[in-house]
Formats: sequence, C-alpha cells, structure tokens
Amino acid sequence: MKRSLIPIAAAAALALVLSGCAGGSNGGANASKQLVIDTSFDLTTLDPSRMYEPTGMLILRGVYETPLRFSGSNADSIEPYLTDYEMNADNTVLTLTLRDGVAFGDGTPMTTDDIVFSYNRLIGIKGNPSVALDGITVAKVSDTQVTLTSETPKPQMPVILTNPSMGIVSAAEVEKNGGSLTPDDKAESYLNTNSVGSGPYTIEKSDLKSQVSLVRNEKYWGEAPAYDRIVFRNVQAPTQLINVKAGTANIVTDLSFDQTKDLPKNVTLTTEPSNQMLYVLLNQDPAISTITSNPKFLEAVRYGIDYDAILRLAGPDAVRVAGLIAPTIPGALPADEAVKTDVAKAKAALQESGYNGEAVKFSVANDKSVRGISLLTVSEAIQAQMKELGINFQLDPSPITTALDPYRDGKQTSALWYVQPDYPHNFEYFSYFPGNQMAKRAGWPKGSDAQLEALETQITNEPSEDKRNELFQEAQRRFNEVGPFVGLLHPATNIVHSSSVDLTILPTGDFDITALVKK
Amino acid sequence: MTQSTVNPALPKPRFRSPAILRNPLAVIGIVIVCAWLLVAIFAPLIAPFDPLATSEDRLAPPGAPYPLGTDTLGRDVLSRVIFGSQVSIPLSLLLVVLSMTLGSVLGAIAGYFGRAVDEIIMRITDLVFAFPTIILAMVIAAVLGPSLQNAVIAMLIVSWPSYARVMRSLVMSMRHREFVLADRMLRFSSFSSLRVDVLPNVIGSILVLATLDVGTAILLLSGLSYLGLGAVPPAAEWGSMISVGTQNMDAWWIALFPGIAILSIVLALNFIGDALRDILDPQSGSTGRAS
Amino acid sequence: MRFLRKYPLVMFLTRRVGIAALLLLGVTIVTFTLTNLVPSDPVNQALGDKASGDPAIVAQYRADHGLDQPIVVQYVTYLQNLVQGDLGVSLQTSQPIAQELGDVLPATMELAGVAIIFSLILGVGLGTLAAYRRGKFTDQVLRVVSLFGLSVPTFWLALLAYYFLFYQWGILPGSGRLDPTLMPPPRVTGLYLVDSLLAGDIETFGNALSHLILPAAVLTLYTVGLLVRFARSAVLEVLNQDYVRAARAKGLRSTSVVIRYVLRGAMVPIITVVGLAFGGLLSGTVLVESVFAWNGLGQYAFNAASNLNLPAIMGVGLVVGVIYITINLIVDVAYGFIDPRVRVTS
Repeated sequence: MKRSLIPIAAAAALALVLSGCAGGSNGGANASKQLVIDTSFDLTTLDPSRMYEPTGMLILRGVYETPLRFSGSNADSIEPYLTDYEMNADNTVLTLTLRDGVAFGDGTPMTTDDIVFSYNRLIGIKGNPSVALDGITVAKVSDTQVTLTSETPKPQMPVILTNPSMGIVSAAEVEKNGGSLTPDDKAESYLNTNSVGSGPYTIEKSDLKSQVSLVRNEKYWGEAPAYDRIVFRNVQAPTQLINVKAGTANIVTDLSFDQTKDLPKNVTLTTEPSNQMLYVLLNQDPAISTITSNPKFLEAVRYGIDYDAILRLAGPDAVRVAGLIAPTIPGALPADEAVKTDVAKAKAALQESGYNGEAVKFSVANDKSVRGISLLTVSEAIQAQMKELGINFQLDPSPITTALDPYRDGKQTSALWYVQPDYPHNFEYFSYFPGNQMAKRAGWPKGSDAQLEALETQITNEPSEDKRNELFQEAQRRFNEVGPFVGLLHPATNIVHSSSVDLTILPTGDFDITALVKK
Repeated sequence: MTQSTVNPALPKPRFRSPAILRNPLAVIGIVIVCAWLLVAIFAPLIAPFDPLATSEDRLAPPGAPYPLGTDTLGRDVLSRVIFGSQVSIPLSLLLVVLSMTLGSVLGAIAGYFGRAVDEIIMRITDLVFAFPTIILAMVIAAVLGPSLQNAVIAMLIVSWPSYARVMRSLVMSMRHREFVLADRMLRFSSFSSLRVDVLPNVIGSILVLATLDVGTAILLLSGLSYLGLGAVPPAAEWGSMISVGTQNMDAWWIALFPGIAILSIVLALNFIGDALRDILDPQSGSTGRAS
Repeated sequence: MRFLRKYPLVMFLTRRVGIAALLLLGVTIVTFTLTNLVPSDPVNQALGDKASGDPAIVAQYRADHGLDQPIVVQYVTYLQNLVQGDLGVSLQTSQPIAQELGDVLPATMELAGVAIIFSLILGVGLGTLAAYRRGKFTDQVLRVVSLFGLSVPTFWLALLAYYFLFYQWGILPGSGRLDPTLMPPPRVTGLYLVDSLLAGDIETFGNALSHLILPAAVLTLYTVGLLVRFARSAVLEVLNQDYVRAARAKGLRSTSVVIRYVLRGAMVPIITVVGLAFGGLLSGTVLVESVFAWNGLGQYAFNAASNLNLPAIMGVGLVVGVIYITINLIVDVAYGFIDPRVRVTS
C-alpha cells in the first residue's frame, strides 16, 4: 500500500501552526513535543484509589507517582522511586522512607501523612484496587518513614506499590474536594478532571469515553519529561493502525500481529510477551457437567488441542503457556515443559471417558480482544480442532458483561477466558489452587488435590525466595496433569509507535509515559 | 438496518400478474432473487469448501484455489458467502411471516373492535415507533443475549406494529362498507364476519408490504450480527463476516463480498417491490396514466 | 370543556401534547422494564475481578447505586429524579448520565443535521427532476439510485468509504470529530461547526467540516433514497392539480412554476418524510458512528447496551423517545394547522 506524503506533511504543518497558536513560546521546537496515544479505552475513573483498568494505569502513571516503580520489562526490576524500601525477613513488614524534595503539582511538599492518607483512603472507600491492601495496616513512623504491616506473609507488597492505583494524592486537596476515608468519599468526580498528584503531568481535559489530555506540570519536582503534552484518544484497533501509519498518532497499543505486518519505516513495533494468559476452563463440578468433570475428558482436551496452530493466530511473539506463571515472573516453568499435543493420547483418553458426542457448551466473550487477538476467533479455532477429535463444543458467545456473571459464579461448563495477575508476582497465582478464586470458577473446591494444597501452605511459609520459586514450579507440573485450566498462550504486548519514540514495556503490559525517550 | 421500504399510500389489490414482467428492473430483480434461492437450496453442492473448515492458508487474497480469498482462520470466503444465504434468506422470510401474522391479527382486532382495545394496541405501536428500530432491537437483543433466535425475537418486537397499523386502517375503512353492515344485520358473530369478509380484502395489501419488508429484514439481521448480537460463530452469516473483516482492513476481501451479497439480494427485492407498488398503485408509478 | 370545544385547534393541541406526555411515560416504563430483564448483574462488569468477590465491596456498590432497592422503588426513584433532570449515574464511569448525553448528543445532532441538509437538497432536487422526466431514462436511473440507497447495508457502505477515501487514498479524515491536535471550540451549542464559527476560528471549522463529510455522506445516501421517492410522488401529485396545470398552460416559465407552485405544494408531505428520515438517521448513526469513531449517541447507545449500563440505556431511550415524539408532535400539529379536517376527526 502506497501512501502519499501530502497528508503527513499537512498534518505536520498543521501541528506546527497549532503549537504556535496554542501559546507555545518557541513555535517549531514545541510542535513535535506533543504526543498522541491511541488506545481502546476501558476508562471508568481517574481517581487513582478507585482505578483498576489498563487505560487508567497508562494515563495515571503520568499524574500520580508511586513509592516504587519498574525500570525494565521483568517483574524483578523494581527500583525505589518516591521512597526507599525494606522488607523484613518474614515478608510481613515493609518500611518506606520518603525521599527529600518531592512536591505536589501546586508546589506543596509531600509528607508521610499524604502516603498514609492515600492508602487509608484506598482501603476505606472500598473501590476496585482496595483488595490489594486487604489485611494490611498502614502506619506513620516518622516524618520520613511509613510502614505497611500485613497479617500474613506478603512478599508481593513491593510489586503492588508500583501500580499507579497506589499513586500518592495530596491529602489536603482531596479533603478539600469532598474526599474522606470512608465509602462516603465524594472526591471522585473532582479527581476525574483535576490532578492532585506529584507527577510530571497534570490533567488538562478529560472525557472518560473519548479523550484525555495531559500537560506538563510546570512545577514538577524532578526532571522534566520528554513531551509537553500527551493526548490519549479512544480509538479502535483498525483505526489505530491507519493513524499510526499516517503519523496522526504516535503510539498505539491494541494492534494484533496480523495488523503489524508490513509496517512502514517511520513506524516501529516494540513487543514483549505479556503476563496475560488465554486458557480453556473445564468445569470440574459434576453438578455442572458430568462430561467436563470427567478427568479423561479433561485429558482428551488437554492433549488434543493443537497449541502451535492456536499460537500462529497470535503471531510469532506470543508464547506457549508452560505452567501458569507468565515467563516474565520469577517461578515460571521453562518453555520446554509445556504440555505437548498428542492426538493419539487424546483419542485414547476420549475413548476411555465414555464421551459419546454430546454437545458441550463452550462460552466465550464475543466483544473482547486481548492484545489484538479476538477471543471469538480463538474459540472458533478450538471448536474446529475439537470437532476433528470428536468433541462437540457448541459455542455460546455473549458480551463480556453477560459472560462474566456465570464465570465468576463457577457456572460455565467450559469456556475460553483470559486472565492477568493483578500484580506481576507469583503469589497472585495462589488463586488457582483448589478452593481459591480462580479454582472455584472451574468448580474445583478445597480438597480436590491434596498435593497442591500442601504445596500452597509450604510456599506461603517459606522465607527463601529461591526455594519458593522451585516449589511454584513443582506445583505447575502438577497443574499440567490435573488442573482444570488448559493454558493456551501468553499474547505478546504489541506497541506500535513512531520511530522517533523509544519506549520500554513494563511487566504490567503497558509503558511509563514519563519515561518515554525522544530520539 | 432499519431502512424500512416506506410505502406511502397503500394500494388497492388488483393483481395483473403479467404486468410485472414488462418492468425491466423487476425482471432483473426476479432473476437475482431466484438465483439466490437456488444458491441457498443447493449451497452444499455449489460451495467449493466446507464453510466451517479452517486451514493453514490464513488471510489468502482472492485467487486459486480460493476465488474470494480466506479469512483469519483460513476459511474460504466464497463458501461462507454461499452458506450465508442459508441463514439470511430463510430467517428473513420467517421473520416477515411472523410479524405479518402477529401485526395483522392485532391490527385487525384493533380496527374491528375499536374503543379500548384499539386504544391499547395502538398506544403500544406508538411506543415501539418511539424508538429507532435498530436501537430498540439492539437493546432487546443485548438483554436476551446474542443468538439468531433472540435476534429474530427482537426484530419481531420492532417490526409487527407497521403491519398492525396498515391492517387496522384497512379494517376500519372496510368496516363501514355495506357487506359488513349486512353481516351485522344477519347477526353474525363479530369474529366470523372479520374472518369471512374483511380479511380477504386486505390480505393483498399486506402481502405487498411483506414483500418489501423481506429486504429490510435482511438488512436488520445483518446489522445486528455485525454488532455481535445475531449469528453465533462459527456459523457463516453475512453481517458477522463483515464484522470479522473490520479486524483487518488490509484483508479487504473478507468484508467486501458478504456486503455485495447483501446489497444484491436486497436491491433485487426492492426492484420487485417497487414494481409491484407501481402496478397496484398506478398513481405514483411510471407505468400509470400519462400526465 | 366547552371552551375547548369552541376552539377545536386548542383542543387538538391539548390532546396531542397530552398524548405525547403519556407516550413519554410509556417510554420510561419500556426502558425501565427492558433494563430490568437483564439476565446478568451490572455489578460484575463495574467491579474488577477480585473486588467482585468481596461481599463488602459489592454491597457498598449496590447501595451507592440504589441497586439494593425493590424494582418498583427503583422506578419511582428514577421518575422522581427524572423530573429534576437527574438521569442517574453511569455504571461505567460514575459520571451523571445527563452530562454524558449532553456531550454525545450534539455530536450526533451535528452529523444527522448535516446529513439531513445534504439529503433534503439532493433528494428534493432529484425527486423533482424524476417527476418531470417521468417514465424517461433519467427517471429510471434515479429510481435505481434511490433503491440502491435503500438497499445498501449502511455499515458496509461506511466501511467502503472508510477503506478507500481514508485508508487507501487518505483524501478525507476517517475518525473522530476533529484532528487530535486541535482543541474543540469553546462550548456554546456543542456543535463544532457552529461553535467554531462563533469563536471566529475558521481553521477548526474547516477541520470539523472535513471530518463530517464521510459519515454524513454515508448517512445521506440512505435518506436521499427515501426522499427521492417521496419528492417524486409529491411533485407528481401537485403537477396534476388544476392550478399548476393552469399556470403551465398560461405559459409561465417552468423554473418559476417549479418554485412558486410545485415545490410549495409538495412541501408538506416532504417535510413529513424528513421527520421520518431523521429517525432513520438516528438508527443509521448506531452503525456508522462505530466505523468512524464518532463519539455520538449511537456509539454511546451501543456501549451502554453491550455493557448493560442500565441507567445509560434508560437515558438513551428517553432522549431518543423525546426526539421522536417531538418530531411526531410537530408533524401532527403542522398538519392540524394546514388541514382543518384533521382537527375535527382526530
């Protein structure tokens, strides 16, 4: 496809003129310091203590700052940011030491009271991210120190503190605008359009459905970021592709592998395996289905899926699921331990299961794409593969809103889902052990597998990280035999951007807009 | 889509069947519709591939052995377009029959009995008309959950009132005619006079409206499927095929050909409907008396 | 009552407005019933994965949004708030629905308004032409064009326009209402065309107009199809009236006959169809807006429906119902003024 240069030149010229008019002091130089990011919005709030969605994370990294942050693509690349940190030997007490000179956008210095207020508010208003601090008490030790104390060992606390929902707000500003430490808090609508953080950007204008723009915080306490203004637009993938090729968008986040083939020279693809996982769930509760709860049927599906064919739908940068834990997180299984397709074994297991071609309902969210991979497309591929094996999956597509309900209640017979650990840490994966949240969704209560349950206790109380990682690997080998989750792939995070921008994908699958580098 | 083929003044039924063959557009329409009917009936014989069979030739552009290319799962687009006719055509016919029956019965009841019954039924039609068709159908389909069956139910809910209105006005105008009055004098029961005398007189008019509505139904069904509220994958349906095509614009063939299929059959139906309207209502047509 | 009977027009108007008000109440009942038939729980979508497993958070959310009340109570509360102009709060964004609708409605109105103006000019012009060339080749061509407009799936046509004019050739912008580098003009009406002119910002005006062209043209094709048919038959009818025949027989120039007699006579039925077509346009926007990332009522309705955002769905239903009923009321009243028989018999 050839494109004329005229529209690009025109857009550039327009941008020049505009930044001149928009009050930029030195015209030309400023023109390219604006950045446009096109992403498919799932924004519901810009109040950090209520925020949970990927779009919110992306935007709020510029507005609110967290005690710690990631510096690279791996989950162990944690570094101090607003604070230094130290964890005690039992992984129960995390001590934060606030650095000097941090100030909010209005110039007032940040204090440890602000940190305590931010987290007590996050816990108290019971918003989405409050679960992360369940069982944790926050206390001020001195004007420079704060402790987070957990009832049970929580080695993931530092990882949690890198999440933008853990951004520190100005207690004075929030209280002035209706904020409180209880569910009666009324500050959300103020925070949706105003910034009370210490970040290098402030919210210029926001419309949660269509567009949010950030401008540089003139009083930022740290080093000025590379761009003066960042605009986030709610744009769907096909348009993102066009916009980034035409130069009307600088960074786009939702392209699939099919869409990133044959990119022109002015555009670069940065890719990393994400910690999201696409998996097939087979309900183990005989009351839901006597078919899917049959271990031999589970075995037939597990060995019958042509994983490589599914992987081809997702592109060369996606990776097979080896265990459950994503490859970027410590404790993951090596790639060569992944389940291997074995049609003969699958057929034998199917024979043994006594399955007789009955229809099995297979649910899927039909309005959801994960990193550009349509769940519906993947489910169609699985349905076709299983049909060849002799398994009759009947697709049951519905919007994700409708599908979530029976899924969370553990009522789905079989389904294709995607999951992402809330925080990139292996303790998040306890959820899959029998009787825990993810397991219950697959009808797998406590007592379903003694070996895994023993491992769960052992890992929780193990102080050595290396030993914990080994135990996690052992658990995943067991999951690959008996678990009701058939892991398919970890999609790649594909960020397509102007070649003049340099970015690093974080373990959370997004990037830090304050760390962008302009070439 | 909600593109209702609007039918202004309703014609009196006077069938002169050969007249339609004198209208060249109508002849083209009839040929295309017949061709599609044959395609739908003999789809398994015509289609070169199984419409559901995936292959490793993903996103292949048109050319041998896939005349219209393949989609994201390597399925043959031509075969899917051919099998798509087995979804759209029968379901649209079914929908029109259902809404015609439901609407006509309710409209006849309203027109014949008048007063409170009329008032209730007509206020319900007003309510349905107070929403754009696709918005109402979309909400109903979303509430019921996506499936072809639910899409048809949603479409039925939004489409019966136009028949009810037409039927009501026809019945009301007929009610005052002599033969109905004669009935009354002979003390026929209300229902039997409705059945024996009034209905046969209006059925012709309703049938014309129905012909025009099949095309509207095809558009609406494909629109709902395009929004993910109709056909269930992996079934081949034109609207949902177009929606898959939007995921990858460079593979233009995925969305182009199902659209041409929809356009061709709906246009053909409109050619026929338009000609029928001319024949039955010469006032507005080109074949009527000269000015 | 005697007063009313003495003035049939007043009685007619009172009756029509009364019916419209009852219809609106009906609309609220329909939307409310529909949204309460929803099989799934809105809480699930609104809350995150872990949070939805925490009974305290769920209970808090329900209480915040009044979802813990019985349905009848919810409906009465809804009506009470409605009277005060409060449409509730979005389950997705926690913003007031009235405010969100206020943001998306002008976008759709601008699009539909431009499309209506295009199609009125084109439709009436071509319809008149077809009537004058009745039975001739031009008439046949126009007939095919108008049937084409009625037959083409709008969303597919939108994709074609998008693919060629934007994606391949880059002639026109293909998404949004303005280039992202431009700030929307200071809000007065919410219509960018009007607001940018009021602000004297010609550049923004031109940009907004260029963004409007593709979606408006796609919507126009359908409405033109409808209008050509109606304008043609309305003009034909007038052409057969005695006064027009007389004017033509007297040898008046045909352009002046067209303007002075024919179009004036045909305007009433044409305006009626424009009213109808406006409804059709609102439908069309649902499909067209999604292709062109036009942040209007259609997109909002689709998002609300697929996320089962109940208060938003009710808000959309209400707004759309009000628009429809208002248009019908205007058409009815216009008829009442023009044709006295309507007043008496209805």
